[in-house]
Amino acid sequence: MDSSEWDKLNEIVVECSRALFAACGVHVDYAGVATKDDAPFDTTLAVIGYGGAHLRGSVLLSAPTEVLRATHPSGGAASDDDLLDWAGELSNLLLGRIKNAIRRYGLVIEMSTPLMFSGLHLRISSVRSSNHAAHRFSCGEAHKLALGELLLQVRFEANVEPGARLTATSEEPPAGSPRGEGDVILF
Amino acid sequence: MSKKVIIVDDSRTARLQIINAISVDGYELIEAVDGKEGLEKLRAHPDTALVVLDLNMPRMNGLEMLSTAKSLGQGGVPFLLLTTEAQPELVQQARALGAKAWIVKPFIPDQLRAAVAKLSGAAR
Repeated sequence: MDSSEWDKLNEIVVECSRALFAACGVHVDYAGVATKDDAPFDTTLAVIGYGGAHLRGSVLLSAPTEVLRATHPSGGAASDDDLLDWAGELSNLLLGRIKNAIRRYGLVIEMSTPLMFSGLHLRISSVRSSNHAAHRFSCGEAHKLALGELLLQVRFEANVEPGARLTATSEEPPAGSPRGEGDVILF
Repeated sequence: MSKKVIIVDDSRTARLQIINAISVDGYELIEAVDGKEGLEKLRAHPDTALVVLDLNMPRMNGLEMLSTAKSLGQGGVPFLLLTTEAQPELVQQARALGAKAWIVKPFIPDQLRAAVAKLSGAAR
């Protein structure tokens, strides 16, 4: 996978993140890649792993408590444990979107189940051999007014096998298969 | 008497979203956190009208639960897979195991409500 393919893969991650937050009612603006490799987090983290023949790694979602509370289905009555669970479900939804998107480029992965953490000054250390990028998103104007300046972060980590390619396929999913999020198939 | 619907998902937030979408129709809703607990709940409630089932779960995933339920003679209950997955091979596996529907998360509440009503035999 060359650098342009890695960039494309990260474009997919950013687009999937934006779409997920929008589906949860949070408009976000992309704020670029974090420059510090191990930036501290005073937030809730959820990490979910994936693996496939050509690609394996993890996706880490970092979200401020305020954002998790504002988007939780209970409408603000969520406990701390509920927010941890919600962060895990969001990471699951995000990786699901990424999985469905990269399948159209010939990359097939399997997903693990998420693990969630919360704490102060959490630091992240990467496996040196892996490719990684930490994408930052700021909440949109409407949410800034309500919640202040808040940053979400999606860290995409990948070990890419030699020969892995990101090539758009024109192959349509077989009849009777879902095409993506929200699709309903009755057998 | 209310129709029973078992909701199997390891995320309690996901279960809450499902409950929020379908509880208005008066089902008796039973929760389970993975496939193993889902099987226990299905055994305890043989009159279940529908199982709403996630795919990726610890201990026993959705396809394993579906397969085991079928081998135990509990495959007559309709199963609706509700998951982030859209991989055609997985959809075909579920279909071959007798699942009746597949919905990709995040779902649209009215669509889930309609599918649950149709599959549980409670279509309005």
